[in-house]
Amino acid sequence: MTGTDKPLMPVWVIWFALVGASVAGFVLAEGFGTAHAAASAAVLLAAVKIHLIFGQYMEVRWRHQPLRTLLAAWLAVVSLILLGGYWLA
Amino acid sequence: MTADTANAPRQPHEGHDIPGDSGVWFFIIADMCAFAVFFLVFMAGRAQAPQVYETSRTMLDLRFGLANTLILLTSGAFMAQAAREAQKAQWQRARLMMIATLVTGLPFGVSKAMEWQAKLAHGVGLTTNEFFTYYFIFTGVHFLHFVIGIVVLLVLIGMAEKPGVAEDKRLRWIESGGAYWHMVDLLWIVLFAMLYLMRAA
Amino acid sequence: MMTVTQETTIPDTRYWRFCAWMGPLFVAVFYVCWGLLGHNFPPFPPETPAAEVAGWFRENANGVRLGMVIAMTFAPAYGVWGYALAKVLERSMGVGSDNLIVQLARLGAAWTTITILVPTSFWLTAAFRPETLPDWMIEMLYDMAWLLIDLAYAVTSVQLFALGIGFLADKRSKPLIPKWLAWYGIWVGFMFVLECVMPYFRNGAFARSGILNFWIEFIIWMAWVPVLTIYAIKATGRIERGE
Repeated sequence: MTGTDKPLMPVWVIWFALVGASVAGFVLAEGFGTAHAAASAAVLLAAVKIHLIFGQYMEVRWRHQPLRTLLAAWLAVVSLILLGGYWLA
Repeated sequence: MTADTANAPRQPHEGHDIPGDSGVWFFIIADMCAFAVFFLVFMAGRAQAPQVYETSRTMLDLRFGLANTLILLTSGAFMAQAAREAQKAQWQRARLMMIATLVTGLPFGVSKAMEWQAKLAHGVGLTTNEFFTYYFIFTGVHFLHFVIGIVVLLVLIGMAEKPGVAEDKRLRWIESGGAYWHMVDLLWIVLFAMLYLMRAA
Repeated sequence: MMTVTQETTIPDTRYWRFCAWMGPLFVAVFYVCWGLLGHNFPPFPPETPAAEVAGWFRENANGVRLGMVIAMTFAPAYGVWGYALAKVLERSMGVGSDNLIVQLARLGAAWTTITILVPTSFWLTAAFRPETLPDWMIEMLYDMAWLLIDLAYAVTSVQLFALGIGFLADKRSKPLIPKWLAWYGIWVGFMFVLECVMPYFRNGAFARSGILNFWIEFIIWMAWVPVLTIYAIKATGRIERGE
């Protein structure tokens, strides 16, 4: 039951990754790249950040089913709502 | 729990299946689902009036959005560390980390107030257009969650080293409160992307 | 140490179950009578022209009268249900009936009964002699009823929070009411706060007919009643067995 989860990463490593992703999304929104690419990247970066928070901050690991699946499903649905709503506009 | 087992290094979440209390997780999931409906309503509105939404989006100050994001991410990092300290029964360190969570998180309230005040001063409010209706309501509801989170933090800081509170109960409360705080953080991450970053062509 | 008083007389327990079933009965009657007969499930959107609202009341006056009369008659069923839950709450917490949280649970249920009775009388008034009332007056009565029933949400939140806090205080290894249901009630109590923006909108998600301020708010509350009732009835059995 516990064999598949890797050890948690240090909090400061996760923090750097989250901050980096946030700044990247900000830079893209400020005008770099095409609007469609920037918007899609912003959503995907948000999804990666939230995935990291689920696993590393909230510590919901793969062994914590079905909670892990529920959270992953929420993230997938929200990402689809944002991306789908954007591209269909 | 004997003194020996209380001080022995423990596996994270030893003795229970998920980090924190399952009832609190129910509340968290329900709240996340409510926000998912908010996101759906917003994107549906955006699909029907993309120009209005884009023009309005450009009126937002992205620097406020980024600042708010960085504040909550930093605060969240301290909360995550607090939970890890609590898992090692390092209650004093856990309490210090939660105080750091509070201190680094409070500026979010100041930043939000400044941002809203700036908008209102320019005559942009709840009924300006649909984008700003959603902007004020969703960030307002999020802010209410933030305020509740601050109260939760204060309670956790008060009980982290309280004698008479069983250690497994302390850990469960800190993990539950931490999960709630991380929810506040991740909901803002979505709001930041949706309101501020998704620029139209 | 928790002291639990035991109610072993059969009539007492029977009344608990009977009173508990008043909750789902209320929801069913309310949905049919207030909701369908009264054109409140869903309501007229606020931007509906007054002539259309008034015209509907004139054409369906008898149906509205019947619906509101029955809805008003059965409104106390919600209060009765709330008192039955408060008996289970006493056992959950291991306290007497004068405990503050238990009193607030009862009070919230009683207040909610009033905030159902009063607006239904406004809808009834609109249907009493609609042929003589101007369109704007019928519209105003309809609006007034909706503003009250929606913005009185906080009285029900008092009940929801009291029940939630009390059920969470259950020290049993298997609580009488599961913790997730206690948290669900607390969540519903908080969600009601969205009604505060309802008066600002004539259309969209936050209007009285909108997906958020009508559909989600009413459904999450109406769903809570029968689910909690089932657990309360199971809890009554456990209390009878001394658990």
